[in-house]
Amino acid sequence: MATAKLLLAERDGTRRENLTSIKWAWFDQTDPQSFTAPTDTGSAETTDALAEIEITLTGTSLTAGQYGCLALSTSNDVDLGLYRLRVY
Amino acid sequence: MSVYKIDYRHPYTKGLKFLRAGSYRELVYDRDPHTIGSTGLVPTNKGLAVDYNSTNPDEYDDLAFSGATAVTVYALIYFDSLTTDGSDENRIIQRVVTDGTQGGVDFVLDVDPNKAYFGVLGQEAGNMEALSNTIIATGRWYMFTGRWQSGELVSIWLDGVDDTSALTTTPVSGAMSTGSREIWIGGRSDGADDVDGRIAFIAAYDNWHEDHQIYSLAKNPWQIFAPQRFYVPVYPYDATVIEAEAPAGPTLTITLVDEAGTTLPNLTGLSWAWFDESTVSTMTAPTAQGTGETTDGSGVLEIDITGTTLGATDTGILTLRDSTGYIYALYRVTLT
Repeated sequence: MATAKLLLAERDGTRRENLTSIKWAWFDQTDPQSFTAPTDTGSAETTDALAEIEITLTGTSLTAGQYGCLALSTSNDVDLGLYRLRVY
Repeated sequence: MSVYKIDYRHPYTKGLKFLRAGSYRELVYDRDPHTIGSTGLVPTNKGLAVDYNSTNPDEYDDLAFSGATAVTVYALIYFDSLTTDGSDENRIIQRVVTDGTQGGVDFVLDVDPNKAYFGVLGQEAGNMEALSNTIIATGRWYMFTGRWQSGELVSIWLDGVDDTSALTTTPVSGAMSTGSREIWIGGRSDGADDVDGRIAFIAAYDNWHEDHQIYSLAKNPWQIFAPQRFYVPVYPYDATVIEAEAPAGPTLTITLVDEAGTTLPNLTGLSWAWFDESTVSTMTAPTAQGTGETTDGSGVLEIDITGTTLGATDTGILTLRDSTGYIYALYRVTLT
């Protein structure tokens, strides 16, 4: 089990705090050409008052310090994005 | 997270100011001897940078690095001249092991003798050193970044790009020396090896910044001065779901744009995966994927998604990464 954490912000610095029902998928690869099926998915994550999101990954094979990719979208599918992240 | 900054752009600041925890509201230290125009700080005709004229380096109390197991240091610096004899080191910032002496340092960022150098040399951490590939020139601005954490190699970055020629090839685990130490900026603690140039800002963090964060701060250094809580955007570029349309068929033709709608021409080395699902939480294995793709001069990408089962009016997801690794994007594509 590992944890992926990030702080969601726009490029202009605007934080995305208190988002709810965030949809997500975690890939154990960092290169889309190598993507297999996501190891973890969900649709009920939130960002806190500081715009931080913390996702527990139960299906990943990665260990602390290794990198994967997190796909995120808002509940209406039209925002957020794809992030390369290191797990903790 | 703790952060030190030099910043006298803040309207209430007349001299150098150290901030902690990234907030003006959490100001804990304001060095009083220096005001603009005082000895050793001569901004005058050199803009908003602090001028270090090979004398009068600045010394500050250490606030965050006792026992720290990681450090990321940024300096936006312009050298008027460089000493390159190998013994004078143009020291930009260092944390000394023993206050008031120059004998040992926990970390140091400098130019030594003619390349950017970052070393983590505290006794508890062991010695780790990195030198840039690039020879540093006078008369231009650079964003220097040095980074280390326990168990990782040190690295030196120029303008957001890793430029490390490792002098140490085996990671060392450890920590900064414990206790409050002095931080020196613009020179060595004995007054030697001082910078002749200008420093616009220095920020030193007692944690590890990811590659893309270093890139982001180099490209957008204003983020150092972001009000309220300090943050570094997790990803600097195009980490946005972008709605798009494309004709159905084995060839997907799509114009890549960023979230502002600006086309992205001449991207190279694109790695991609196509998913037949329309929402990220239901994604399964990709039905098509590839690498080495490019966008043309108009930002148009053509890829073969023969494996898809989707047809007209269906929506799938295209994930992309460019060859630099700095651009990740997720397009939600409706086939027409």
